[in-house]
Amino acid sequence: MTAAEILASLKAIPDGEWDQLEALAQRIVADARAGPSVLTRIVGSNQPDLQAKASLVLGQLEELSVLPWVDASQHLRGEARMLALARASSAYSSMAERSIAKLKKSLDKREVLPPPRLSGEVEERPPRVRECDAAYLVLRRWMYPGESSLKYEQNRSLYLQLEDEERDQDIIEYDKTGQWEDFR
Amino acid sequence: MNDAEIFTRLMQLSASDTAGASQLAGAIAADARTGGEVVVGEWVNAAGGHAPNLAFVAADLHETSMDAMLRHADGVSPALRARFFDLLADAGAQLLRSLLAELRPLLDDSLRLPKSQVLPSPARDWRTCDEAYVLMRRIVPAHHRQDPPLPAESDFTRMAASDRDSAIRALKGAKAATPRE
Repeated sequence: MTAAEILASLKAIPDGEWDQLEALAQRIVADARAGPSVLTRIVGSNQPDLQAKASLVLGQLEELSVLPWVDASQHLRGEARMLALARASSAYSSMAERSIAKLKKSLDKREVLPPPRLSGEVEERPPRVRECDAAYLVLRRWMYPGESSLKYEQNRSLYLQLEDEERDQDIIEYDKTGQWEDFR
Repeated sequence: MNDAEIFTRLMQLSASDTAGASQLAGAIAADARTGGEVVVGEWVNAAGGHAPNLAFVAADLHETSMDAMLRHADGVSPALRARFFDLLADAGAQLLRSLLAELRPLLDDSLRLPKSQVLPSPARDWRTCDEAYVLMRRIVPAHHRQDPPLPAESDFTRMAASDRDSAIRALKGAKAATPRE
């Protein structure tokens, strides 16, 4: 899809038509992955000359190359398989570093974020979240992928019950050590 | 670019033409990122009305919108930036899950590797499981205090095979290296 076609589709879909929006997203993703997946097929093929060139190109696609390298690794063995996984890991790490660097810039920002829009009556007001709190919580997700969604939500909720000074202390501690514990 | 165009340009590329490879990579990446750029760009400029639609589509674009969100992050409101960060973490987690799904089983593979893809001069008895350990430690750098100590890459690569086996066992049990569902 071209940019103009995507824009036209976005404008044509009425608000809240989630099925149509999901279908559009799927189409955009399928189109976006088509080019890199051509390279994946060649990397996993038996054409040594083309394989080397496809690897060279794929290696420059950054975050777009992670899944293609993982796919390619499934068709390779031994050193070639490890090379594909090493390239996937490296592309993932670059993207993680870019994202974490942005997040860390937000750890100093104390502006309070607007509360989520809620429809109808609510029994409990949502907690006050500052930009640094949101960044800290997302940073945990990047750095600690082993935390289950349920545990993350529990920790998030406990963290947001803390006073600002306590939250700040957690952020400073995390920034210093790169480690954290579950909140109690 | 369609499949045939990519294939043709690859055929025309000489093996040593790194500039040509970069150009082709740039063209493929630009195509792949078009959707993310359009949706995220519209979301940044949306004055309320269509924002929920755009947020919904952006959330489903996975890795294809990461670059656009990172490039726009500095110029948007704190609330939108926080939303971008959440979506970036979601997309990152999906990539990590795929990667760890391939790497974790290799921690059980003791096949000797004559050459490492990640180290210039590995131990003589370097194995697939050792290589998988190094890669996993690189992509999951931090750890939880409840996890057992995991040797850093520089220590791991100097260890005897039996000590490396212990480190690999520790990594297999580490919460940090098990992607969340």
